[in-house]
Amino acid sequence: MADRLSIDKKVNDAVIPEIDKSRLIGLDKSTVDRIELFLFAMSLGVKQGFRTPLIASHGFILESSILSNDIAMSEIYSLMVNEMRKTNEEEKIGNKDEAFIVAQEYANTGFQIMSEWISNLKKKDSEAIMWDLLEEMDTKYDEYFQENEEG
Amino acid sequence: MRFESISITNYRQYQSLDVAFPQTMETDLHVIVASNGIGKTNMLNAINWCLYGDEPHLGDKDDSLTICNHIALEEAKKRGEKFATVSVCIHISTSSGKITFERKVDVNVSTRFEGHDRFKALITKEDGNTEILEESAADEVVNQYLPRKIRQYFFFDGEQLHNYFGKGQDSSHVKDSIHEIAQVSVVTNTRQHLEKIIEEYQKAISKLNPAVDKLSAAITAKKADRQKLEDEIKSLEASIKESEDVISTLNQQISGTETVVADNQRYNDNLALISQLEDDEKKQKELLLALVRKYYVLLMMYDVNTATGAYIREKFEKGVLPPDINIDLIKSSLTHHECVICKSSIDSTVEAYLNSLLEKFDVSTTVSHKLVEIKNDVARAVREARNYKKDKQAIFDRLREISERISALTSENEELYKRISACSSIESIGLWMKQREENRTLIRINSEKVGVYKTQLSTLSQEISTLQAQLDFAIADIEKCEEIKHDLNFATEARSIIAAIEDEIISEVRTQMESETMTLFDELIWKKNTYGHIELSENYRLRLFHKVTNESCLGSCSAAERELLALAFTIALHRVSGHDCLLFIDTPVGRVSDINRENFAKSLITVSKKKQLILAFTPSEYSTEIRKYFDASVVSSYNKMISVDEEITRQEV
Repeated sequence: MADRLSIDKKVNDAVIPEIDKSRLIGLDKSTVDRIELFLFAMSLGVKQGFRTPLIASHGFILESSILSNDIAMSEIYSLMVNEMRKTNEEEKIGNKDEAFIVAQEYANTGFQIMSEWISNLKKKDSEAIMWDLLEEMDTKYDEYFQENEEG
Repeated sequence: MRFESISITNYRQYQSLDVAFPQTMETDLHVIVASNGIGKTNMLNAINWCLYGDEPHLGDKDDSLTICNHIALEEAKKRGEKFATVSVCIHISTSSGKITFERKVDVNVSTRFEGHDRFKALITKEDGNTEILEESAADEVVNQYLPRKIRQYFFFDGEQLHNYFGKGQDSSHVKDSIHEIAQVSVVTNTRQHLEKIIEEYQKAISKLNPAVDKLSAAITAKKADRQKLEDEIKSLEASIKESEDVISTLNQQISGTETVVADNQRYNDNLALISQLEDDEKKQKELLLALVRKYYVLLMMYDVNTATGAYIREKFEKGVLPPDINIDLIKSSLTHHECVICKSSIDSTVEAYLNSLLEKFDVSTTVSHKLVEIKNDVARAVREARNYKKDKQAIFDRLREISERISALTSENEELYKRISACSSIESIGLWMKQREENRTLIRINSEKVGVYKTQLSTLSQEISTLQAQLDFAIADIEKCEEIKHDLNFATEARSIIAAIEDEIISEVRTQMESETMTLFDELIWKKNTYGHIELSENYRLRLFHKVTNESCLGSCSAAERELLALAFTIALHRVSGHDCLLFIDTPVGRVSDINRENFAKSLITVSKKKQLILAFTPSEYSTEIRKYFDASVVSSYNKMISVDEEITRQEV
């Protein structure tokens, strides 16, 4: 049984230190817990709509740390529900190992994007990325709520 | 009168020094250059010691080395001599001949004790005859040409010029000098003598009538009190006047800059506020980042969470999400045909019921547990995503508010800075405003005191009048004292006349000093249309008035202008006193710099056309600005002193 969330070793070695160093979107370890970074990466992956399997796993967050965040586990399982429904494997919904794999693979997609951001920080700094994200969020918000409210 | 030469033997640094001051051209300007510690000031001391027997420019006589040169003492000891002799000779020329002043003292080489010094004046008249006068007779000759009481106007330290008329400076030296040159002492002594005589007559009358004695004593006591009050009032009024002058000067300095101090305060307050706002802005940006981190997850997961929420709701509605039933226990009971909990056997009816339960709850309990567990959190995540715009707007509003506030404060500070930077010295203005307020307070306090004292004075005067009337009545009663009364009246009248003469003489000298000082200052000053006239107040404080505004403006003068005014005053004093002799100034331009140093050099050359001027400079003070004007065409003699070793100073050849 998995007792921790993992990330790809390459991400752990090359991307995470750069996130900490550049304080990208305030996701560095001195500002937020690692679970918050993981959830952000996972959401970024969900937005992309595909999963990226891990080549080599590297333990990243202990289960006890996941539980310290009030929405982390429900978000991971919520994602799991959706994934299992797609493949009619709903009996697996309660399977933690499976849920962690899904979450890790979406997060891995997110980390790949963040890796690109880091490589281009000289062209687009953290603040500019933040403004892009806000624009994206505005669009999503309008898509979800504006139309409903208008409707 | 002028100095021809000075010969110094074994005096402090000088083992043997002869400096001549020949006048070789129209100017009578002599330059001595020596570094600090070489003995520039001790030359001033040597002159004073020779003429007056003391060394006023020595830091602490009790804590200084013996007057005799240390090497000279050692050499005398080696030669087996008991004493080494220190001597300073000053050769002067006057309109009637030449005089040599010589002072000597023997110093014991073993104990270093100084013996009694010996002073003499050798007067060589035009016919070639020489007269030798010693000790007090020689002192008389010195006083004839260079009076001891005003010697600080012949030989002085340039630093004195700088502080000559400064606020808070004791003006008693000016008062003493004026009285000395007015030669008013004879008249003052006469008045004091008459006062004693009057007192004696009154005592004589008192003896004839005890009531007179009592009344006289009472009047004397009251008069003493009145005098005390009058002196106090005079002193307070002088202080008020002085404060008014200070305020007037400060007003000129502060004029147009009153708001600068407030502006500066506002500028600094704004800077502090901007800094606080910038901190707040930083916090808001951190909040914005936190908002991005939180809501990015909620919004990107919104579709997922909405679908999960709907799925859980559907399962609930269909009733497929069971209450907390352990399916494994049911399955195990069916397999073993007995209840795994109570171990009772299961019949076919129970088995059929358990099988129907398994069919009904087709979702496993693990799944159902998980779905029930996340149900509320997923619903909350969906709900919370709605707050994004509101939360974001709150931060944006605050950021805009901060930005507008910073922008407004920065603009205001730009304006304030323009006004502040136009002002030369903000610290000085603050200080001036404080001084002005202090002086205003002082005037108020002193005016109140004057009011109280004047009331007391009026009461005292009435009391004295009453007592005087009683005394006159008592005296009139005594026929025998007619003659004494006559003498008393005469003495009283004489005293009044003498006192009036005393005032008149002093007043005349003061007027002469004002006029001469202004004439000289006008001649020497490089600003030709700035200063109007000079006033020497009753408390002997010198005031300089602006030509156009007629306001007192000494406080606004530069250091160089103040020094020049002091120099003009000094030369005026020479003229008015009739002792029109040399000036020896140590460090004449130490406090004067740049262009004013050049101006001052030109003024000194002007002075040297009418008066012998011996100036002792440090090498840095004898700068290019001075040398530019003090060339060979105006300097009659140039002497550079060098230190042979720590103990001996010689002229550079």
